[in-house]
Amino acid sequence: MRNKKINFFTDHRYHISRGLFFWAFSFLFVVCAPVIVYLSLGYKLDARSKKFIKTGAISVKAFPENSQVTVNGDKKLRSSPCVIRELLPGTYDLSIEKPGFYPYAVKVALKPSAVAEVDVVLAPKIESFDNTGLNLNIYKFFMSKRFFGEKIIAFTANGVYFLDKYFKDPQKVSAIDLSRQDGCSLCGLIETDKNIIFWNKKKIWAAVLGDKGAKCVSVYETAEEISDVFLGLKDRYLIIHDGLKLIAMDMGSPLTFYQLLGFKSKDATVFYDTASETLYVNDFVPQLNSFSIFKTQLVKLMFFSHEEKKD
Amino acid sequence: MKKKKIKRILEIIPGALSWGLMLFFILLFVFKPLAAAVVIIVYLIYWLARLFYMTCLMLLANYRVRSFRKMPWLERCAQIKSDIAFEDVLQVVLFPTYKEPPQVLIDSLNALKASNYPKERMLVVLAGEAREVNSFDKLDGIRKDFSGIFKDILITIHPKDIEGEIPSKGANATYASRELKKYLDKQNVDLSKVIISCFDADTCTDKNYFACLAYHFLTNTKRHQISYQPLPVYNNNIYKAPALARVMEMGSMFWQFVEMMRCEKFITFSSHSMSFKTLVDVDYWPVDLVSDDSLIFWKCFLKFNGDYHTYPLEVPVFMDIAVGKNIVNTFVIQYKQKRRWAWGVENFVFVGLGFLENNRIGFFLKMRKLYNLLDNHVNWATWAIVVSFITPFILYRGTIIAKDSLVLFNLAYINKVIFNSLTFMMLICIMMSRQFVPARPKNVSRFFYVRFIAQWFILPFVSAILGSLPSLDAQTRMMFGNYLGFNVTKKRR
Repeated sequence: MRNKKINFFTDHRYHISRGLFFWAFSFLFVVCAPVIVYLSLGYKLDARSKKFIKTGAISVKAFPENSQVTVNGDKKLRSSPCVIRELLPGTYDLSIEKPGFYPYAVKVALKPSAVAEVDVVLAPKIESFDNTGLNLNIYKFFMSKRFFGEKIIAFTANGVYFLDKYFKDPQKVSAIDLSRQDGCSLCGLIETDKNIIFWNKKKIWAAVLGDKGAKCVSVYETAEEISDVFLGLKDRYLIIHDGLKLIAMDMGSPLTFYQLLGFKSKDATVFYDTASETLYVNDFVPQLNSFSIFKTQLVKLMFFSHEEKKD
Repeated sequence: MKKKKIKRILEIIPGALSWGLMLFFILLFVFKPLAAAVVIIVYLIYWLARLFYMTCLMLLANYRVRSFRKMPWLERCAQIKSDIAFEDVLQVVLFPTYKEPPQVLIDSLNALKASNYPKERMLVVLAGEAREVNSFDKLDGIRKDFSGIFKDILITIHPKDIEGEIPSKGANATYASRELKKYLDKQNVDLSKVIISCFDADTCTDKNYFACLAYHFLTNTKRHQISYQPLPVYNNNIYKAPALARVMEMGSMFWQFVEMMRCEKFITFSSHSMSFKTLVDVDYWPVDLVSDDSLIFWKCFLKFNGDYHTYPLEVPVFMDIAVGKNIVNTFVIQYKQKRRWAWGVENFVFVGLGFLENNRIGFFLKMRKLYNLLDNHVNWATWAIVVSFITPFILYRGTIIAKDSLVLFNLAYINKVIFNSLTFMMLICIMMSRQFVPARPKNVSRFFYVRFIAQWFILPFVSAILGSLPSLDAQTRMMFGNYLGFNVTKKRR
């Protein structure tokens, strides 16, 4: 080394190493690129017929993770999320299981060079309810993401409960005075910071959160049919689509109502854009003898309604 | 007239290819989404193979620098039996300077002073610009500080507005070299025994640099047909530079590592050294072009009919990281610096025109060199944009228009593999970069090393913007004849 001339140009160690790397990676590219492209397109060499056949894949996502995935009852260990590749086109029986949850089974139709996506949330088994030690006679429950992550709001014979997403850790947040018939027919729920508002086709109730003794009160009742309920004008008003009319209830002073609109048809629909506070109404127009969409600012309707009430 | 037309065509080619490649991907996706996905997969696999190859070269280069950097080069020089005696070799160090703070030059001269090379055989040229007010006074002050240390310190002031020149480092260096030649002729110095190193003002050399340079100059029989390129390590102000700038410059250093191993493609960049005789023979650096550092290589390549090479020196030089007053200013400075480097695409035009006039270089060598230049610049301008913007766009749109397509589904998977591979490369870079961090000053907290490692994780975001865009910008300007002037990177420590 000491007497050897140092010259990179003639130092073959580097040039040979470089050449080896170059040819190795070139070879890898030349071999791998077509193979990967073929596999990406779903081609598979069929050992029996010695022909390339087109396959597909099933992508499985399941909550909770690490659920066991079985295709056509095979015993292969797969856990979600996973991609099951090289499947011939056809229909597959896919089942997803996890202890403590109800199994999910689905038939998946697979086309060649296609991927079928299965994305499911497994429902927890009810046994976990019994483990709470509480006799929760649930009428109806709703999923809520408003209060510190995912929670379940359950309406029971004993009151309103918050449960975690596994139906555990029940916390009573309000008393309740609902008949079983009313409770089981609940069809919607709105949460604000202080209240929860829930309704069925005939009645709307409000319950104050945090007051475990306070019972929920009925704030609206109709002989018609409640189609939709939503909050408007930065949650100041509860807008109720009741049969042939659109009504606003002041959240600051419940039981104060304003009639906003009257509809020509019971099939009229309403859509409210919270960001622009615009109301879109699809209603029947007799002159045109067809349905047509109108839009108006909710604030304008409120203004006219307030003025009418004063008069 | 014909030459002008050819020049315009050559100017358009790189930009047209880069834009063409990107438009090809997008249009193919619009009309044949699945075919586009297949093409992108091939492109990504190609880049994956190329990245692994470059990582191997980087490791080889690192091994080489580590093995030879600390070698007793001076002792070796003394032992060489060559047609030129070691004692006769004169080292000239040329510092073209424009508005750099005096301290930057003082630090560079201190590094020369600390060199183990005999100072009586070192001549320093401080090349100022008449455009800079009080340039002579500034340089004269520095000369006085270092008087008696070197053989001599010359000061030249490049006059402004010389016809046919653009204000550039090349024009200044050329003027200084002409003055130097007059000086050496007066002293009857044999020009074939003179090595000139043209350094940026912030270049601080390793103490072994000149001994290593002299060694290779003496041992190479074709010494006048070789440029000598050190590894530029950007670490002079590493403790003061923001992470963004550190990452970019470290990236440039690693790219030089890779280039060092490909000597048939390797050309001069930034601070470099060469035979003064050759420099005189090729009529110095170009005075009307921006990329003087690489163009000098091509001038020599044409002069010697293709028998000219760049030798990757084992000993590095240390330079400043380009930083600004704040993070935004740093970003702008980095962008402009990278765009100036990318303006090296003008080499393609210069070389193309040069090849037309030179019949002594073989056709295949010409084609190979032109291909190498195009390959470098087109890939530089496109790959980060394709990987960071076009591929995610295709994936995003693909899920809307062909949700159940297996090939698009697999493209997402391969894209993920590419990014994981980049992380792997990044880990190697983190490990290698540690050796180039100078000793920590007392006023810098130990926490710096944590930040130094963490900084690498901004690389994917930074490289997407500062990687390809400056290059695409430069090529587009050239394509439309909107020529770039020489942008001086301000030195700030």
